[in-house]
Amino acid sequence: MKNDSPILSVKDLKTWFPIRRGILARTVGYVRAVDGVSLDIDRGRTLGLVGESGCGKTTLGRTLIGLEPIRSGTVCFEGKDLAALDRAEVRRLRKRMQIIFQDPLSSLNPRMNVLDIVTEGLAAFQMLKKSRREHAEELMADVGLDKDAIHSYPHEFSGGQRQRISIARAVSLKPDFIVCDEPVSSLDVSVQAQVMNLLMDLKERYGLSYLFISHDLSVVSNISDQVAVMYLGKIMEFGDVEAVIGRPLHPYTRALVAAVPIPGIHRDRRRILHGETPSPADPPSGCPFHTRCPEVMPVCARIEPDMIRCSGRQVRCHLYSPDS
Amino acid sequence: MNDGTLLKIRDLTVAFETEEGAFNAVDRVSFDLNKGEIVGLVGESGCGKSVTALSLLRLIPIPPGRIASGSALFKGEDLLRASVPRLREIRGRAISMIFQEPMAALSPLHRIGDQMVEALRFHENIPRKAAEEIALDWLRKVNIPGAEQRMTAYPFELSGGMQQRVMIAMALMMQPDLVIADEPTTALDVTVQAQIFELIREMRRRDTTILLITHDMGVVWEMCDRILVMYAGRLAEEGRPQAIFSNPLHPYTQGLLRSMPRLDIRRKRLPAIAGSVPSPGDYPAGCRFRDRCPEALDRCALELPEMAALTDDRRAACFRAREYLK
Ligand SMILES: Nc1ncnc2c1ncn2[C@@H]1O[C@H](COP(=O)(O)OP(=O)(O)OP(=O)(O)O)[C@@H](O)[C@H]1O
Ligand SMILES: Nc1ncnc2c1ncn2[C@@H]1O[C@H](COP(=O)(O)OP(=O)(O)OP(=O)(O)O)[C@@H](O)[C@H]1O
Ligand SMILES: [Mg+2]
Ligand SMILES: [Mg+2]
Repeated sequence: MKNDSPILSVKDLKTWFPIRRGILARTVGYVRAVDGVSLDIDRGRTLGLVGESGCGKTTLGRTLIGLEPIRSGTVCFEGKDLAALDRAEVRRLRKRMQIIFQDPLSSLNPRMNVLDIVTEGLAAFQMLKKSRREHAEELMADVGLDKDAIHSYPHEFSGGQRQRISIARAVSLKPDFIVCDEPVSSLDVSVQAQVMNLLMDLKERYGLSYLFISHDLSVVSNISDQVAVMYLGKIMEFGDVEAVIGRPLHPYTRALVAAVPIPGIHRDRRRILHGETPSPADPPSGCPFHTRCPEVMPVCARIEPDMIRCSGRQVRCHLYSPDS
Repeated sequence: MNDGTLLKIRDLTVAFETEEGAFNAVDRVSFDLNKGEIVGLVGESGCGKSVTALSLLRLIPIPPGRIASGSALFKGEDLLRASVPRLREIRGRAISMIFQEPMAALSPLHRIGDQMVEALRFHENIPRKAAEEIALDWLRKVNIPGAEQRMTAYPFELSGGMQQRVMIAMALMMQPDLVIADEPTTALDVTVQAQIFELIREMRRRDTTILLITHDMGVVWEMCDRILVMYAGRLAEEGRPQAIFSNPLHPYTQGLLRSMPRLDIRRKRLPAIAGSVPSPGDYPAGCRFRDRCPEALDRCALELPEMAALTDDRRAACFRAREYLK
């Protein structure tokens, strides 16, 4: 029973940031970064999260592990509502949920060497089984870094090497769930392949679950079991990767898939979505995508479509009607 | 042909002296950038791409870093020997840099509009109001939604991709002759990326030269007129994208192309290149790719291959390159 239930279950989640103006810092509006998201992440599986820059991916990931305050809705970890936990439970959960931050430079303490960075969590949770040095060397090897570099500081590494240090830190506690925020976007393809293989190995070995945020559809389709496509704080399409990426229904997903460059294929073949992304502080009426949608209909500006089940996935678009 | 060269780099060597010892992060690298050309610099993480770029503007930390040899002639003037005041004039005006990590370029304490206005007014004597107009215009060009409101935002209030776009706007708004772009679109999805690339192409049409550092082979394919492949501090291969993708000459490039994740093929495991990049302190004698090379000869252990011309527009640093040439 326990293994079938999702590790993380999100219902109608909203995370808004107040926009303040003037010397009194009055709130004049909200950036609706996450605006009514519902989804489940199954145990031992990877949910890929894709969408345009600024659509709310990072904010959603941060909210799931308690780094941003929830405005409304619920996040349940193994069926327990995060908002209802007491301090000790929160601390225990901290260990089981980790994040690999998007920007490794600002998330690594510049005054700590790598040995301290990657074993800090192990020490804090009294999980050291051998010397800190041995743990650190093992973690370095896991992410394909030279173990002799454990005494170096973050600024002494290249961008991609720093990214791997933050991956080592995140996996050190053997968590159950990791939010991976663009974990391979600054890595070249061969190291990227190594890191993705590593994440897949860890998942098999420890039954880890991931929320894998990336703007790169090729990466997401290779690593994910399921994919969620986000636009202006909302999920537009959600389901198995074969369905969502292989046979996309939503015009937005279709636009994303069509825009992926495939080396060797002539450049003009790609179709690029045009138009300005609306501001999340002032989202359009009706379907949030209607201002840029190539298949827009009159109804789209007036009525927001519901999430429906259609051809083996969930989709939010007036073009489709639910499976009967 | 020669008057078309904007930057001529010869024998660039950059050394680091750290507690673990000294090593050359960049080792005798030579290449040219021509006017109005987009050149891609690709290679494995840690191979020296950023150090190459940063050292051109002498932005590497000295010490532990040191430019040990070489020259970089920019319109005839050696950047590696220019005075500090002169360099400050060049930076951001004639040559601008888009950094790999946005927060390395943006101040966390100042509103982004103010930062852009400051940068504009440092190089040009224009009224504040006019500078604000230019800044706002560029925020719109890089497609920041609600640009007017965002002028007063602090960097932490922006998403990762927005920070990156602000930095791109700052680099492009000065209309420089050369833009060094270090992984400029890593955090951007394909649609925003395509818009940024359209901006970059537009600049090229006005004869701006772009050195585009990236690990994304799709980007290289889309954007570049010429590709430089780097491995372990040295150049491995140079050529046009069409040629490199259809007929890579260096076994490292061959491996790189194989390990690309593709949308059209889903695989259980990606074929990564076996082994890992040797750390700069212990490069093997001979060819630095030898230990990972499926095609290595005895000779590769003894001699370090130099970049050699194979055709008019292809160079490679591999003893077997001629065999692979189709
Ligand atoms: N300040 C420094 N002190 C010591 N070593 C450094 C320093 N900066 C860079 N290095 C080393 O120089 C080498 C080249 O680094 P560089 O940043 O140029 O790599 P890169 O090719 O840009 O990699 P990435 O794709 O990961 O950004 C690396 O081995 C790195 O560890
Ligand atoms: N701390 C904050 N204060 C105010 N606004 C914020 C804050 N963090 C994020 N935002 C806003 O919320 C929206 C969503 O940002 P988020 O970082 O979640 O996007 P993202 O999908 O991760 O984008 P990217 O792909 O560029 O990283 C953006 O409009 C951003 O400016
Ligand atoms: Mg983000
Ligand atoms: Mg770099």
